[in-house]
Amino acid sequence: MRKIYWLPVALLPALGTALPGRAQTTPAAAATAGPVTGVVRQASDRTPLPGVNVIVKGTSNGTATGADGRYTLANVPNGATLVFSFVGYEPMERRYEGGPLDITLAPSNRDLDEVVVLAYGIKQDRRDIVTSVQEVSSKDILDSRQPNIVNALQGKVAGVNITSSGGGAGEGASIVIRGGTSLDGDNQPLFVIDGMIMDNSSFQESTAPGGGSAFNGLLGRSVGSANRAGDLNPEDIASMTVLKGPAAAALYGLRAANGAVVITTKKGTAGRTQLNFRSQYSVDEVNRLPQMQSLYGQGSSGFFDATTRSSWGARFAPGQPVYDNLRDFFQKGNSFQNFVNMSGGSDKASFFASASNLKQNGVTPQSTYDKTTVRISGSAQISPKLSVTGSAQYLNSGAVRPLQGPGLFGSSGGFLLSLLNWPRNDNASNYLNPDGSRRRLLALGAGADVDADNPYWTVDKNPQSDRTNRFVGNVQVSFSPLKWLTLSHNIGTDVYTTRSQSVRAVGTSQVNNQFGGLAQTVDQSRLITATTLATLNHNFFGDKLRGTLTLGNTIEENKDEAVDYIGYIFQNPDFIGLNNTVNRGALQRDQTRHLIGNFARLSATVFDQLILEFQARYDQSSTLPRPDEGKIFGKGFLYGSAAAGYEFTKILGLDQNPILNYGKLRASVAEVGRDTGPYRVLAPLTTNTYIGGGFRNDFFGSNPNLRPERTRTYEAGINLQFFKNRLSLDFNYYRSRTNDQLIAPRVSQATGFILQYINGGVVTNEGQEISLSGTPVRTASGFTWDVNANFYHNTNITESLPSPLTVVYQSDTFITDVHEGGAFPGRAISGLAATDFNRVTDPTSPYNGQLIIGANGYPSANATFIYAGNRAPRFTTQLTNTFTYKGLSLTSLLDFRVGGVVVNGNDWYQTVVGTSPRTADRYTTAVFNGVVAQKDASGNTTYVPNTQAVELTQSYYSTILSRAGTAFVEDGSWARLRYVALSYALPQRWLGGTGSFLKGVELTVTGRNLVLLTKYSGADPETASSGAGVRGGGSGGIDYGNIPGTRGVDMAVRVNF
Amino acid sequence: MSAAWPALLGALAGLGNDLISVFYSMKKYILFLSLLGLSAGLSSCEKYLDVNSNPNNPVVSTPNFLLPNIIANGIQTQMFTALRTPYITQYVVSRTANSGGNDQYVFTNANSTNTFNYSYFYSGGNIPLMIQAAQAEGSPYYVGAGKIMQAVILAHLTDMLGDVPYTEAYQGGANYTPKYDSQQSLYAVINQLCDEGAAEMAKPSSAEFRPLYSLTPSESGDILYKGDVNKWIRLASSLKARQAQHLTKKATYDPKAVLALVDKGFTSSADDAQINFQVAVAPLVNTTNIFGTTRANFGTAVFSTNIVKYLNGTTFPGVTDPRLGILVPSTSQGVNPGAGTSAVSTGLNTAPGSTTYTDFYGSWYARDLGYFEAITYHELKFIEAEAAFRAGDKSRALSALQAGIRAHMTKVGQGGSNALPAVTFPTISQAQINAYLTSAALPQTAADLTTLRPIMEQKYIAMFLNPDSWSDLRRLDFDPSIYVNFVYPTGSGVNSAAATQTDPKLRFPRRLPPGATEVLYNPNAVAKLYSDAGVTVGDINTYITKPLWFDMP
Repeated sequence: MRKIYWLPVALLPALGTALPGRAQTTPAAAATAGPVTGVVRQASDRTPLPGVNVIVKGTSNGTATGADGRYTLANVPNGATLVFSFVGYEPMERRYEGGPLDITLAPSNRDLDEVVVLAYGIKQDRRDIVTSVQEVSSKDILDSRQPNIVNALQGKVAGVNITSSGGGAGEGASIVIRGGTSLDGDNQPLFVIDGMIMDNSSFQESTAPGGGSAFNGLLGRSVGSANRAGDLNPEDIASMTVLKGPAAAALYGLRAANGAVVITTKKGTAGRTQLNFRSQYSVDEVNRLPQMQSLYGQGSSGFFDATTRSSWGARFAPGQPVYDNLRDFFQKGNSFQNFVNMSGGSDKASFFASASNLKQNGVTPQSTYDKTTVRISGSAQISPKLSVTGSAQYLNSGAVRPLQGPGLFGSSGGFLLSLLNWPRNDNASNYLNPDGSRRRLLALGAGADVDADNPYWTVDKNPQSDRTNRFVGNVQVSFSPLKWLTLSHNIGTDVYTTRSQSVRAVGTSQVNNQFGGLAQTVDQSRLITATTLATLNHNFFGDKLRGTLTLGNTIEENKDEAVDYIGYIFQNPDFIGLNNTVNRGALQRDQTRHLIGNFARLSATVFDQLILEFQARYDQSSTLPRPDEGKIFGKGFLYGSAAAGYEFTKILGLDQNPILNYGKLRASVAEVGRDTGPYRVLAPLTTNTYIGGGFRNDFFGSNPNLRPERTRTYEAGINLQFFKNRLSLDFNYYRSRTNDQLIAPRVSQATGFILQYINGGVVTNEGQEISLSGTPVRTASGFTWDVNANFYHNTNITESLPSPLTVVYQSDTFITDVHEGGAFPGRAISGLAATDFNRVTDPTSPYNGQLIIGANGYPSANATFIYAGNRAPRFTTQLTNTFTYKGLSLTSLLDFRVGGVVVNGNDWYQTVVGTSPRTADRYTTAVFNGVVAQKDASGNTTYVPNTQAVELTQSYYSTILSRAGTAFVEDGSWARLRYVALSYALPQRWLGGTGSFLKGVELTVTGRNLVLLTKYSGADPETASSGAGVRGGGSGGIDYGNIPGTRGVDMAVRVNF
Repeated sequence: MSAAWPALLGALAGLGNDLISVFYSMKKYILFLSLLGLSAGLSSCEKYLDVNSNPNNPVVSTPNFLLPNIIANGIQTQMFTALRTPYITQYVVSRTANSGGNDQYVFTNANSTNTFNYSYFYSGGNIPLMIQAAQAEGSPYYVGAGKIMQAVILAHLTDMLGDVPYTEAYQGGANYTPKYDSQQSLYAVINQLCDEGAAEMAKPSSAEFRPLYSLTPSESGDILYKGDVNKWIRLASSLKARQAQHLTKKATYDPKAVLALVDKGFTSSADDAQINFQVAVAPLVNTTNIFGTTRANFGTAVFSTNIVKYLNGTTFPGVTDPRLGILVPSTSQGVNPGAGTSAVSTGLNTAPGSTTYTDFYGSWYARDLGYFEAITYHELKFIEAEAAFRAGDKSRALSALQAGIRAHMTKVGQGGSNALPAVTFPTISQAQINAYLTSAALPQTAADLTTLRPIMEQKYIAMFLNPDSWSDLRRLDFDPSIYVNFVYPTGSGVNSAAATQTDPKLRFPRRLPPGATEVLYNPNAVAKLYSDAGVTVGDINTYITKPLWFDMP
């Protein structure tokens, strides 16, 4: 370890002697003139631009503009050229010939000279990037008005699939880059903030011995939980870089097998202290709701029956009140957000401080979400060679959420299912008895309680709440002893405590909790990352060969200490508290994972045309065993990447070509490994919860021979820029293969265990990404039209599974009785398994594939699960249009998704209970399209078309149709206007001119999800009712009992001082 | 807006606290770094990575904390089976007419899943670990208890399912598709395990590192017999006697050998191998009766005509069994399989005074805090009676028959009550027992004992709900001259593959189908089961009619 840790440092002196220091090229001070002053403004609205770098060309003499856009630069010789540059703007060169120099900068279009932040804060000119990287700017993040930065990425990056779990306040979203590679692992990318690893976990049922839903009843689909990246303040983010493939991410090691999202936060700039304030008010409502029939009321067999919740009763009489309980339940949500940030500093030190607060009332009654952030970052140049930067942020977020999905311990339902089977002859909002107890529809019977909690009662009495207190901070010391050498050390942490509480009030129908129950979890998570880097830059042969070598070491600790508490039977029925319960249980589940990584990256540019990049990393993980050494930890493995780019337009002399002025081809190959979770090598015992107590085997068997999962990716791409950078095209093709999958399939329990961690199975991904961006119109009067389009197509295939498995299910998505997410060989890992009708399975029959209709005239369902579609889209396209004219700006994002099935679990449930619109056809007669089996004279089965007319009875819907899962699988394609934002920056002269303390005022109105066109018959098809924490193929496209997606309007004002 | 600022200030205060806690967590790291710089060696790297042992749960335990689960879940396995077999043996039938369920001989793989999985994962899979720990520390009694429990578990499993894994079982990832061993070989294994276990139990207690049972600091070890090794030895012999008696169709069957085992078996009801249900106190769950209202598994079950007739004076005219009102509520009328009865709310065939609970919940065996018997003294007496009868010793047969009835009546005749539904059970006096034993329900002299019927029907009554009752029915081919009240289920839902068998002896369930998880995760072994039985893979309806090895000549 010590040797490894110091390796990069040890190599330095050797390299130092090998590479002679480059001679200083400071020109002899010529005729020195006085200081230059001036103002730099934006071309569009003439507002001052702070933070613009001003440098005398060919020297290190430079400065930056202040908050008012002013700069002063001393010692500028007459005739020298000043270079003005700023991220996102076309750089400008001006010759100094005395007098003030006022400049306007135009936004740069294709950002060729922009610097992109890669792994570990390594910055690289976009020109030199040879792997697939896409950056999202602060403006784009803020335009979306999404409080969750994962949602803010939606539509901005080709090759990324983002799925909101639902429309609840503060509900999470999942992000998958280039399809999932792992059958059973987490397929979401690594999140990195300011060079250190950040937690973006979502609720995941614990697999710790004795833990999970068996202990406290909570499943991923019981509550719409958050993803931790949502804690961040979007206003703090300067940019987010998405490193798509392992080639881009290889340096982050095994945690970045699915790519990485690298977040760079805003930093202070030298100059006058500036204050920026934004206030926003938003209104939300549910976008679409499940449909319900309005013809029949409570009962069964066509008669009213007060002992059932089902709506198989009599037809509503004329004049009989029919309640719209579903629509009435949802309310208008609103949120109020305030952001303030301040930055400033001198040339030696700068700071950035921010605070934000969000308060939201959700679209379901009593649901709330709030988030408060405070952040400070600063940097100091201690000496010309030594600098320190640091940041600290405190994040506090919490929510009160309704119990959704099936409820707890597989009960009869959360709020939505209860609404969906609330008979419409009854007013659900009448939920309390005069004595304050729960008004029941059905009497409490023997055994399981089938009277799902009233939705109003459940949101009132069974709140599911959580609160997270989080600190994210880092300190980075950077030392440049030589011009070509920088040493840096970055140590940071992400610690948080989440306390969640699930209340089950006295009188609830939640299984085991009729006398009250309280589950609490206190989860303390801590990530520590310490990274040491040595970066060596050198240009050889007069810039004909530029090279950068980075050597690094990183140490990570990932520690999670959680305690679950459960208490049953409230002694005082109205008091919510663990000490008020009769029976209590507790469970401790801690996890620690350590990692040591050493890496090297060599990037070289030859003749400014050919770029080569090599990366290698050696990781040792605490979770993988070394069986040959008899150790259960510390397996080391090596992987890496090689990439090349060729700027072919240089040699063709096209640099100044009016049509095609830039073109780069690139290709790469990369391999990256992935480890497993802790404690899978030696299986621990678990508590025996049956008579006698003590211990017994836990679900998972030991595997002392686990190996890392490996992904190899090939990638090729081209980047073309046309019309002097007015139009840019980026195309990528990739192919990846992941083998030695780490999965935990269920096995024969004669092994002594239920599940067994094994290596096996192969998953491949192949896809294309196209990004097109350009400025079709830019007039002299200041009108511009910018377009940004992304196209993404991915083919994910489970090439093989280890024998004897025929499918790997994602049991967290087993939501209805007839659907479950599953990876079938030859199909995508995001596949869907469902039951189907019995069909003719005789390829020689002309009726092959048709429904087999029984002698009774009805089809029948087969209990076997078959492949029923892929929940991931076939391709997605997004189009961002931005029109600006002076201070006015109109931006919109159109989002198209083609393909991808959605399980209409709500409709399935409603079909059983008789509220589905399809059951409005009850009592009509139909001839099922199918065939009837017959025996011919020789005893062979033949088929004839069915002609028998039968009635669509209650029993057909609830016991035949509802057992065929495929009948509830729909196309989830959509076209949506994800947002449209209109903003107006008040002209400076209205604010009192340039001397005013008021530097800018901007008003914005944003509409989110205003238009949604889809054939899907349920709620918003963008849904994942088991949450963002589902591993493998995820839970996207599963719609069951959760909060439907929302649409809304935001009004915001931004003021700069 | 104004509301936001106090929140921000509060947050700033929180920031300070968090900075401090981070400093402390960092301190360890900094210490680690400096250690790294000062001291030397790869060992610190090794140490840093050596965090892959679960900090909350041990990988090994002393045997006394492993044995309780092996006993409790080993016996609970039989309770799960007893959610199925009472429909076959017609103790109960479905309340729903033509239910298409077990009482009509229709089975699914899921019906066997718990029987299979609880035998391995929940109970048996823990035995090798416990025996290893016991041998390591020198506790032969734990080795003995492990072997005898393995025999109990394996005997039940093979009697229900036939061939099951044993020689390749419990190997974890080293073999996740274990092969199934033949029932014949398993019967030998069971005898061997009983012998080896009894031999360990016969060792002197001075050889023990650890007491077999302890109440301090918490109850651990032998929760079955509270450390009485002689009861374990008698259990081993009793189990061997039961298994040997299963083989009455075999030419090798030797009633004298069975009687010899009986002599070494249980000596009173105090020896019964049973689990007493208890109030669940966290973290324990489901510790109440599997047949009771809390666990709610029998809400749609109702007593069969078959059992009711034995007790209410129909089968034995003029003899009302003192157990009527205990085993079965006195208001029960009995229902035939497939016929069904009215909804509970009508009050027909319900628990006394209830329109919420079926009559089943008004019975002795449905008490939430009752017991479940795996193998009992009264069963052994009936085994003795049958073996003696077959050996020609009718007087021993008669006295054993009477002793069996007396033991069972005494056990269930102690009164008591159940809370939900509220039922109070009558006591049975010695006078009532004597009156029954001298009634027309039984032969009064050895000479009158001319058939097996009195022995087998009394055994059937006394082994209420016990899955092994089905073994008797099977090896006696559901003989209508012995089981006189038994009726063949009616209705369109009856298993047609069974009902259409021409040989009347083969119209009944003779085995349970393979467990559902085995169909999914050990498909080749399951396919072999079907092919060995001469049945198309997946044809459960036919498969379950095929007799097992013990049930064949």
